[in-house]
Amino acid sequence: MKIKYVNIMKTKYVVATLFAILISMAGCDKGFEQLNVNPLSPTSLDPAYSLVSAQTMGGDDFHYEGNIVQQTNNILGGQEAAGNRNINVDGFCSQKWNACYPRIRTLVDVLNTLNGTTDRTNLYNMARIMKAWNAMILVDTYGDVPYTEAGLG
Amino acid sequence: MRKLTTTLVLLLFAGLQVALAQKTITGKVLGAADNNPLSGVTVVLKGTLVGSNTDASGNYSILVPNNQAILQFSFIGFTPQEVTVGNQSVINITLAETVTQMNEVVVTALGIKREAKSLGYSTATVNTTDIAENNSVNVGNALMGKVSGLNVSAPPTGPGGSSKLRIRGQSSFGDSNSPLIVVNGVPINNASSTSGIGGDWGDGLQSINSEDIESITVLKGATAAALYGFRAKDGVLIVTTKSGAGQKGLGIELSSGIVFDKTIDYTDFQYVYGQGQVGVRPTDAAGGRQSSSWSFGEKMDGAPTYSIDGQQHPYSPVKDRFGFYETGVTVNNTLSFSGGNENGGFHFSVGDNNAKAITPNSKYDKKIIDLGLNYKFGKITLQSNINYSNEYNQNPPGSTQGLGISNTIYTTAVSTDLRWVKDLYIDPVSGNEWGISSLTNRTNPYWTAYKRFETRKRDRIFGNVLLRYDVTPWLYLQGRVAQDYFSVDAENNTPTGTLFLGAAATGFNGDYTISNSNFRETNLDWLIGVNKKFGLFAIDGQFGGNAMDQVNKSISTYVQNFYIRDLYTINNGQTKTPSQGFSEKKVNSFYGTLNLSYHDYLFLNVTARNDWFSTLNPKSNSYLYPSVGGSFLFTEAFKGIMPAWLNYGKLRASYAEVGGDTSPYGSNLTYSLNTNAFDGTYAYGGIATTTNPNPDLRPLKVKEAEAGLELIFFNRRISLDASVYRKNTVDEILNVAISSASGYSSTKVNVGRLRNQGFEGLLTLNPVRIQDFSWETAFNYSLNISKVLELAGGATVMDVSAGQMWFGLVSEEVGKPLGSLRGNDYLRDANGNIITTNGHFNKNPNLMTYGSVIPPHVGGWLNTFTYKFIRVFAQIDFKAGHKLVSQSNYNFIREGLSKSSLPGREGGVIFDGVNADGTPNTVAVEAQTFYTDYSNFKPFTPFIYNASFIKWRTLTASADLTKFVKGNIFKGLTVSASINNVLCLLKYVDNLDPECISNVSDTNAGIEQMGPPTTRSYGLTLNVKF
Repeated sequence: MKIKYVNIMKTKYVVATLFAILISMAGCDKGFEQLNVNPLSPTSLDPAYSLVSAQTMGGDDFHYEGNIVQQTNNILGGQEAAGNRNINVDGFCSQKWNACYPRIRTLVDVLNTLNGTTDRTNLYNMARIMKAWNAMILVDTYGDVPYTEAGLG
Repeated sequence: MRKLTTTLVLLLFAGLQVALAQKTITGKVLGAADNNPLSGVTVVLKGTLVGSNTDASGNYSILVPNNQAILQFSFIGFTPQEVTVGNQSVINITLAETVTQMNEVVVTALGIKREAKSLGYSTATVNTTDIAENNSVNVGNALMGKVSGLNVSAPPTGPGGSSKLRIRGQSSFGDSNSPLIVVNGVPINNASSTSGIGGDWGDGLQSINSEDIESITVLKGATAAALYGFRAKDGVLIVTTKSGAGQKGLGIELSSGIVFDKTIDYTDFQYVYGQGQVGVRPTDAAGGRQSSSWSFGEKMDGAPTYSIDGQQHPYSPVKDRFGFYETGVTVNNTLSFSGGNENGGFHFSVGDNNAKAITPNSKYDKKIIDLGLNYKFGKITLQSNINYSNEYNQNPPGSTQGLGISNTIYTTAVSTDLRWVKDLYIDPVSGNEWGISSLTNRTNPYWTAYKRFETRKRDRIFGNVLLRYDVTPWLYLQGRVAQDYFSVDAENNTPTGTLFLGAAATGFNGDYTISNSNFRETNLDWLIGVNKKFGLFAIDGQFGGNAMDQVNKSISTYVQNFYIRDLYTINNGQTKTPSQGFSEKKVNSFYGTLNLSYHDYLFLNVTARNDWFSTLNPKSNSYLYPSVGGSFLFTEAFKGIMPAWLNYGKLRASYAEVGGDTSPYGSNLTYSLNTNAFDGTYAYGGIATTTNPNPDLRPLKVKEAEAGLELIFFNRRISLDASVYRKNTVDEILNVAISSASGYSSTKVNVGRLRNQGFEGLLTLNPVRIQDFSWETAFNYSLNISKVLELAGGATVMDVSAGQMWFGLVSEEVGKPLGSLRGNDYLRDANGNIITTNGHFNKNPNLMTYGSVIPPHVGGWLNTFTYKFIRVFAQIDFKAGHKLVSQSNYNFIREGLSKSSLPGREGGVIFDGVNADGTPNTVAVEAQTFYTDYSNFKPFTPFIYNASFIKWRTLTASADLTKFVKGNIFKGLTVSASINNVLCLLKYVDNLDPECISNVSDTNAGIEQMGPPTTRSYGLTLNVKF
């Protein structure tokens, strides 16, 4: 009789533990979404800071004058040919592609952030002009290039 | 007189014999399994030194004093027996084989102990005696060549360096495919890190004192490791430390060792032409300091010639190339106390390890305190292991040009001794580096050793507390709390006045970095275990859960150029770049294992683990990792049918799917603000990454199937354990280039696929097993064939090598083995002739593949000889079938050191090539100009080597002197002497050790770039038990 009593107690114990497990299972990823946000990295940024970034983002020599005025340079090849004669010299032209689109991405981000707001129209339109200017460099180099869908990721 | 004495002694002896020898017992000793006679069995009269041995037919005879006498029969590999003589005069004995494997218990995943026979997968247990006597500062290096399927590389990066462990190849294209290290049931961090000059900061395994280790089990395949789910892709190394279990009474143990490390010089240079350029020796003091990197001078004649110190020295060969290096000395002492009774025990140890590296002013010190305890209070068992380590690593050698010292050591001219500037590394006028070469990246090594500092201090504590409640004999509950925490303080500088630095606009050049980082991982886990037998069936199951939380924090500041000379502080820095890092992730898991057995010969094991990742998209953050394994003991199942010489036979097979880890914050788009405002005024920032975040990433998956066979024959004289496996990795996360019109350069996609398949075997033989002497010899061999199956976006090749890789490229190529070594060949014509232009060769602009940098063949041959109380251990191991590219040999030829730079010293080199029109080259090019072409064009072909080697790795002799000192205060005394890296028996790499690759990263494997030389070590160990 006593043995049976002990067995019931143990069965209860096991059932209770299993029940506790089932409950805890429902919360296996509780709080995970909040945890996966890096506290050091902002998820939004004042577009004014992004605009400065787009303005200072380097990586390319945008002009040809420096090389063109050098009398000993060969204008039939290399960078000068790309600038002077509208020839696609990939080594130089691709630099523009790779420099302008990251800027356009940053500017698109500024435009998206400010879209629909009215209090910072100057900033908004500065970003529009900058975007157009970067696109112009690319059109100048390549002809038709992605514009409306550029920088959207 | 002498004759009389002899007679007297003989008489006395005979008298004694007669007095004692009441009767003679004879008999025969047979082995139980095959009933064959056993020779060499020791027969001893209990309580005396009177003994005998069986002869070749197993017969013995012994004199016993009376019928109460007890005879003891013992033989290595057999269970000893005692027999009371009684009134018998013929006693025949059958000795039973000690087939320990039958009941051997293996520590498996989660610390669950299981019988070896029931496992459906391959495991290996490492002999801890060999580890302790090996004296390696990093215990990982002691595992080299000992386990089939485990490929260990010990990079020559000083005593505080890492140990590179790889099980069954490389499971991903990533840089680290290191197995999970589990200590006492809980994972610890084993990440390696690298200093800015290619130095090795070590790994996590080095925080363990090898003296504290009770056992090491290697779980090779995915099934063995399946209960570790997302951490199991590379197998698991299970380390169990001592906890005083089974200890009776109090014991004190002192273990001391001293090891001397000497560099091994594999260089085979030309010693004909000395320091100088274009065939001319230095003619003035300045010239002596300019040209030390070239051995293109004149024939050495012993005449006084200017050199690196601006003084004249005899123009003669200096063959002691490694004179700069010192003898490394490592002293280690461990004092441990252990005690216990029938309810439990404890083990407490204090270890101190001081290693002076071969590089001057470089050392690695560690202090480790380890506490293990276990105690049983009725139904409750408490167990805990805590390990504290304090490590200090000072100036580990680097491998880059400049501050990586060995580059200068290796390339200094053959007539020049660097010790001439030992006390002249500071220019007495400027206070800057005393330059010894016109190549400023050949930094004066004494300057680097004494003016540069790079230190790292790690305080670490890891351990766990476990409570187990045995509810009934067949049911238990268990809970465990575990943590691994460390804090690292690091500092380094580039000293002001180092010649390769550009001048500062104002003040003093140089830089300084100070950082602190810490890591904390906590694991909370629980387990319910059931173990029940129903007739012929038995069920053994566990169900549990784990909550892991991992936090990394770091903060560092880099400053460049200083206001005050030689003051390395943040405040003194002119430009300051601080940085801060933080990441946290959690993984929650549930797992269960169910083991069924029938008749004790058929076993089935099923496990499942589900992991929930905080790092992944909440919509798809749950992954299930299942495994199934079976084992069949056919010798038990067909008992009586099987031949008697087959003692044990087991077939096993298993399949499992496990995963890879993931990094936090990868799926979200975030912004970052630049450290310093633009022009000091305008804050700026933007989207933090150029990789477009992909919220749908999932962890990579490894699917592995394996089958194996274990056999023991002829009373354990032959044992065999063999496995075959196929391991497919799918869904590896790779960067896919996307059009930068999107604003991003790449995105991450789950596309990579690769495969490792192979064979591994362990054959153990006991060819000699006679009285007092035995020889055990074991061969282990692993074959791993890898293949790249798919790369991102349909690409056929992806370059993975990173860092200072202007010489050498490691890539992954679809259809080829992992780790393709690629480079440029000479430019050749259709017939394969090298095309020369005016006597110069050219480089083929297209890359070619030379082979894989990962060895497909790895193995070892281990021999243990035991004679009475003396044990000798010798190990030979090998790796074969892989390639390396040697940047050193490239420097040796272009700087005139190697013998292959000798042709053409007089009269110029007429290279064996053809002109563009196919006619043979006849143009002679001045020697140095010609050999410098290797630098101008960098053709790889002459510097690609077969990296295979066979090495006599270890020779250890130990003596157990316990019986000579027993009875006094000693309970045990063992002394041993060992040599590591005894001899290189076969290699193909010129001038270097094929194992000299100092980088532990998988993405830079096979690229030899001026790492420190390897060493041979001589060790002495003393172990005393009180």
